[in-house]
Amino acid sequence: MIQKIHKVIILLVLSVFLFEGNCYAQGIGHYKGDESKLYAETKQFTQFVKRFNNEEDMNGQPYPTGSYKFRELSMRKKYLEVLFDSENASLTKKLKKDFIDDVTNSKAPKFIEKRQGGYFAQVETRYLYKGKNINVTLYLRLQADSLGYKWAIFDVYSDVLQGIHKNDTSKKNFLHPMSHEIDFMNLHRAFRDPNEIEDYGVNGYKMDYLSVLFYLAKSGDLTFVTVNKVKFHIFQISGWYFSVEKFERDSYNSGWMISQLMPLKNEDMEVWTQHILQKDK
Amino acid sequence: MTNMKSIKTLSILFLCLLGLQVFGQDTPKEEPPMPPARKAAIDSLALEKVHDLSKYISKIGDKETSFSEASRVIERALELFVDDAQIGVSTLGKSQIRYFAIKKYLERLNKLNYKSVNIEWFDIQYISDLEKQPDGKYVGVITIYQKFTGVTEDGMVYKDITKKDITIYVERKTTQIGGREIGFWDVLLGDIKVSETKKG
Repeated sequence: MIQKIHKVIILLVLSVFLFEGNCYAQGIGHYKGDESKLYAETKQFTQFVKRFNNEEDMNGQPYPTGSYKFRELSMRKKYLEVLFDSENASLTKKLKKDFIDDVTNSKAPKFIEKRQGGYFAQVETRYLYKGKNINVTLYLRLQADSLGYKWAIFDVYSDVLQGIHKNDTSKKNFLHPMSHEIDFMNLHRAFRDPNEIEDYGVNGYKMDYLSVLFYLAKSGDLTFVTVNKVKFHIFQISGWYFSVEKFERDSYNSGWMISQLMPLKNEDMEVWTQHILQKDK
Repeated sequence: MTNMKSIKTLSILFLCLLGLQVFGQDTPKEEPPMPPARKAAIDSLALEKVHDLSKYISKIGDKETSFSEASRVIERALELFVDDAQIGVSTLGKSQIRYFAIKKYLERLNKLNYKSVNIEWFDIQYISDLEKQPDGKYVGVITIYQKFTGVTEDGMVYKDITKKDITIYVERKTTQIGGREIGFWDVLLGDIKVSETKKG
């Protein structure tokens, strides 16, 4: 009985939290119960998507098939309001309002569809490289394969990995144009100094760092240690870019939330993607 | 002449269909989502296994449990898991994950030798959708919150509140009963991510 009463109180608190967007901080501040915070927390990225789209009730239960509540827009607005990191000052009221108004536009609402691509994960990891700790950023996307789906690494960035290879384009070494007549015996010169080896590649040649990562792991020079952080980059909502991160804090504003948001024109999408993939470094 | 043209057209059509099949290989056939009643039954089976694991953990951590009994319970607990499952632990204020094989984790718990272990469940859980992976098995994640209280021999009380994200694998299996093939859904636990949310 006590448990039931407790649960009712929690639900009331969460209702206030969701329905009274402007004054919830004050109302909730008086409530010290632990469970209400856990209810409010966006516990999985899956839940972030379901709250973003309004596909589940306040208890995290999916709406029954055919329910009018499924993706209903007024409740969705309330959910969206609590999906932002409230401690990030760059997420201004106006920016959030513009975004929420756009995605809940009754004529053309925008939803996150998990099977339609347009998002990827950035995973900060740590490895041991030749006995030293190094940070490596992996980029993964959901890929259809055989009977289902899988997360697959499609790119990688690490100061150390990228630093192994010369980035400057000033090439001073080459194999002279008559090398073929001496059976390319001068190749030994190319491989004499590993620091200059890139000079001998064809112009425009690009290093595939993912292959380098795999090679170093296979050779035993690189050993996986741990995952430090995960972040999702969402490009699927036309006209916008936003990132989603997990905030673990003793607060009603915790779990998976929007950490960065900006309007993004379609023509700028490629440049911004390259920036996130750290290709401009 | 007309025949030749028909054969040519059919050949092109055949090649096109073949081509479509090759491109189609990468995309799984979109299946209708699992019926809610079946999903609910699987969720409840998975939660039952998670509860079993908690009971085993309490037993393993309890000093009153003899070594041979603890070993037997560890074996029972391992039966809940797929091979090679791991527990990844992240502590408050530190983002990195420390990895333990399930067996090692349970043996370590047994060696901590608490006088008593109590695991309380918060009345909250979140169960993700079940997604099909390339081998055809379904995978999902159940999030639960628990309060762990361990009392040592000298009366020291260790408390923590953890969030546990538990991988579940769901597979359709068949068995022969009385000469008839009966289908059933089997649920096994996989990797568990344990995040300390609060010191008790």
